[in-house]
Amino acid sequence: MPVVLQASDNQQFTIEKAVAERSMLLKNMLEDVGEAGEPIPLPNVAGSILKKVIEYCEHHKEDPVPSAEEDKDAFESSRRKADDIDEWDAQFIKVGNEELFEIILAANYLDIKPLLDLGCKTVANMIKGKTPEQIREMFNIENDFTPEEEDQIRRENEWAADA
Amino acid sequence: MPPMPVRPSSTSETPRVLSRLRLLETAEYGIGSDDWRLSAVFHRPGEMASHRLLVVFRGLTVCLAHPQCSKESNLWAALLGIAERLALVKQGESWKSSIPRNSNCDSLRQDKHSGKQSGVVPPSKSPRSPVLPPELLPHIFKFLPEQSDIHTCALVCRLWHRCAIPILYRTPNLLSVESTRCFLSLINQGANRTLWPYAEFVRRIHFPLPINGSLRGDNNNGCEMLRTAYTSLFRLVVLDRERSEGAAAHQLFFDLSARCSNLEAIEESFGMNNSAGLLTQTVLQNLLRSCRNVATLTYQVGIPPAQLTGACTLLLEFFEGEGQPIWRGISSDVIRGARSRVLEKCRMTLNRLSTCMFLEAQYLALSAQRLLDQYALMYYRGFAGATDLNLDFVVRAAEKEAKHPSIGVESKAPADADSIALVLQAVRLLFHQPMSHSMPEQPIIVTSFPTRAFLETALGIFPPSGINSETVELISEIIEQYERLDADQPEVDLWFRWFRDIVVWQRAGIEMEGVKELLRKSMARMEVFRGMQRRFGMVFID
Repeated sequence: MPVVLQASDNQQFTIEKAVAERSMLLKNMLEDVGEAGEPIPLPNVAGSILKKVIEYCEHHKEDPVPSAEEDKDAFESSRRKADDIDEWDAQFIKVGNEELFEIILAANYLDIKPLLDLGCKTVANMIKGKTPEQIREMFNIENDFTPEEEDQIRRENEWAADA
Repeated sequence: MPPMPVRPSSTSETPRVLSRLRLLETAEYGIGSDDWRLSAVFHRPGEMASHRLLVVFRGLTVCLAHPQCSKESNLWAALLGIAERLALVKQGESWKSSIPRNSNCDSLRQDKHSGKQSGVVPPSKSPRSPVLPPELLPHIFKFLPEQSDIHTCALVCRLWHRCAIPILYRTPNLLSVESTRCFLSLINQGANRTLWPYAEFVRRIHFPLPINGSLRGDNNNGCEMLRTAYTSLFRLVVLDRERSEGAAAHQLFFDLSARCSNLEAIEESFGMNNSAGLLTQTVLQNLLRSCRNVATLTYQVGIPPAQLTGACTLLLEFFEGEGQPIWRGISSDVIRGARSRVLEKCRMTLNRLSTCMFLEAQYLALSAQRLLDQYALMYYRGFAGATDLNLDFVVRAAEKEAKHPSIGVESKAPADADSIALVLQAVRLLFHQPMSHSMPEQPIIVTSFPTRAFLETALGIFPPSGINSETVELISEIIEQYERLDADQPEVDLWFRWFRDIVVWQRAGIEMEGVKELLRKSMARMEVFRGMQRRFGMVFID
């Protein structure tokens, strides 16, 4: 039984149930509502992004679902590696910043943990080894610290500064 | 004799307890009279401050002796607080203590609230283009394995700062002694004086192998092989030599356990084979727990943990007999009543302290053992390295050189010839003790090269007998010259590998001095505790 998804711009996508179930949100929804055949509206996701997300889910539909326990463990260990991205995923996530952020947001909304992690790892890799100024430039962030604040922050966190 | 004016510092530094108990001083306990002489107790006449302390001390003791005393733990804390001050006076030290008292922070706290209202803590505005979803920032930061990257994120903008700080402080990775010291001084400032209550975030503190730094304190001249066996934690403990005998454990353990209330573990990691790390981790975990036990008491009263032993000793001295001059004018029943309570409290406190001490000693022993293992390994390497050396090669080369001293050893490449000359120079140094080091400008001229038979016996001993730090310095200079040559001579290479083993062994020996001293001091501390047990006839060591 296929599932129909409707993006914020009313684009519709018909996908296999197994693909839809990569998203915990959709999975729970399908379990609760049953397969009514009606299109599921996703007002937070634009069509172009939803297309990308579906592409990801199609590719990963055979993956084992991560158990809740594993998930918790991974979250508990506070610092994780960001370099274990497989080749397909790396190609898939090679997109512009704006699109990347939208994919991350969609993954978060649709509750697709592996895709969310992929997106966050990608951002983390972009941050690695940069200076604060470079990061601000890259993500178009304004420096809203006063010079005194910046000075105090540098002073207090001095212990963490050396690589 | 004229009374000395009370130093302003002593009043501003008066612990909380004292101000609270100033009432007691004037209370009617029949004290405050001058019928007893301070000098009899301290031989330090004229110390007004200690005089007042003694008066309060007597008052407290009377309170403690009261059968319906309801504030026993408060009184005990106050007694300890005063005993610490008195013990310091007795030692002739200043009144300053290393722990900032709460009263000291007050002015700064006010300053912060009135003057700097707009701290970083509540970021008032978010960045202009919040394309990156803020709620996902912590999730992203968790994928940054390098602490320095998270540190960078904390400097980007207020929003990022707020998300990065708890992650940065959750599992601090203290790479060097310097950064450990920075970290400790930060958490010791207290949450009121910093932008964040940093200490509260801390769950696990991690000490990896040091990138550089030796156990002697120079920053880069450490011994590489030893450096795989200690972390910056151990290095800090070794380097802080001027620790008082009364300090049951290094101050940092007390600081960490008392300040970081959520701290679960102190971890040391030793790279690939981390079984050593797991063992010390267990000990450190227990040490942390024991220190927290002691520190909650001492920080409440405002006594540095290092002074606790001294304070207890003083209390025990006061109660050693009822005839002490300090108790004149108080009935012996009262003193007896207070005595049993004080003794019990002292026993408990000393018991806790000695637990800290033993656990720290265990940690030190484990760490030292690891270093000794490396040291032994170095020895065997040097010992075995000698058997690979080609003796005929050097003896022949020496003969050739003796025949043609001006042209040197014949060889295809000049670098190779020079390298052989260097080997000969080093062998002469090691086995012949030339006169060259008195006149370093002069080239080494030795007519007789050690014979093959002599070398054979001499190489059976490692390190070569007669070696001293001076020869080692000369040898390491020769090694440096050789490394600059870029020669390709496998035989020579073997010799130089062995020379390096000698240098490393000698340097490691010097490194180990600090460790030995630390172990000696640790034993001495235990002796102090045992001595107290004997002296006061108590048992507080399990």
